[in-house]
Amino acid sequence: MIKNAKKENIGPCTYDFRLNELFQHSKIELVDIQKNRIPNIKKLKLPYIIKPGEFVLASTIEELDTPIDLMSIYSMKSSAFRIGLNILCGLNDPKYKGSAIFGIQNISNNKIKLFKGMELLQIAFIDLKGDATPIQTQYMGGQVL
Amino acid sequence: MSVLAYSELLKRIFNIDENQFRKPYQILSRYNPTKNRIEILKQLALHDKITIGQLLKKTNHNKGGGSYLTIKKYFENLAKEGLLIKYQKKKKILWSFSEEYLDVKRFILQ
Repeated sequence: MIKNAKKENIGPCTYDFRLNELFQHSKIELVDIQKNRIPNIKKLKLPYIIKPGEFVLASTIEELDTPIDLMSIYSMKSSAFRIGLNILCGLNDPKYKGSAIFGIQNISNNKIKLFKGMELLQIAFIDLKGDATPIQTQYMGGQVL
Repeated sequence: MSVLAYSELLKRIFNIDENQFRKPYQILSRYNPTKNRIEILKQLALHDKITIGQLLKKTNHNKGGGSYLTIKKYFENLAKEGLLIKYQKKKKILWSFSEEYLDVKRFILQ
């Protein structure tokens, strides 16, 4: 269900993900998804100092292989907002495979160091009632953009 | 609809059923499982058969005297409960986890 998992990261009813890679959007004049005008991404070196207001995308060391009878919900760990980071994340449908992709924004007035293995995101798995259909998405396999 | 809790996550992610460890945990907790003792058991789990002296050396503890006797007594107690097995090889005494508790070995190492 989770590849590269660590037993210590299992919580009472959640699992804590570890930060693996960071990506930054390139600057373009206008982002327009209707015209497929989306920024390119550049991989950043870790550790990375995130400046106030800056936004980056992130992937996790862990890789999900969600079974058909479960869905999962990401949530930020409280330790993230306590230091001034906002974590932007969503949910995973059944049968999603790949690392978790999430956004990190520095909402504080301080620079914050992001490092490999940092625990900012947690996941809860929800048992589904009824039969689900597997997810079909372009982001399968941990595609960042 | 329900959220998976710790034991179910352990089972689904690591294929570990908490109940299968209830008995060995009871045994371990009966004999004062200090940090040093667990560290030595972890080292034992890494080897097939090993002497207490070698285990103490690998965990950077004093090889002789009190440390040796304490661990020897601890291992003797765990052997009495069936968790460990003692082998005599000439003058050496080697220790390993018993076949019955090989899952504990896997759990300790994770």
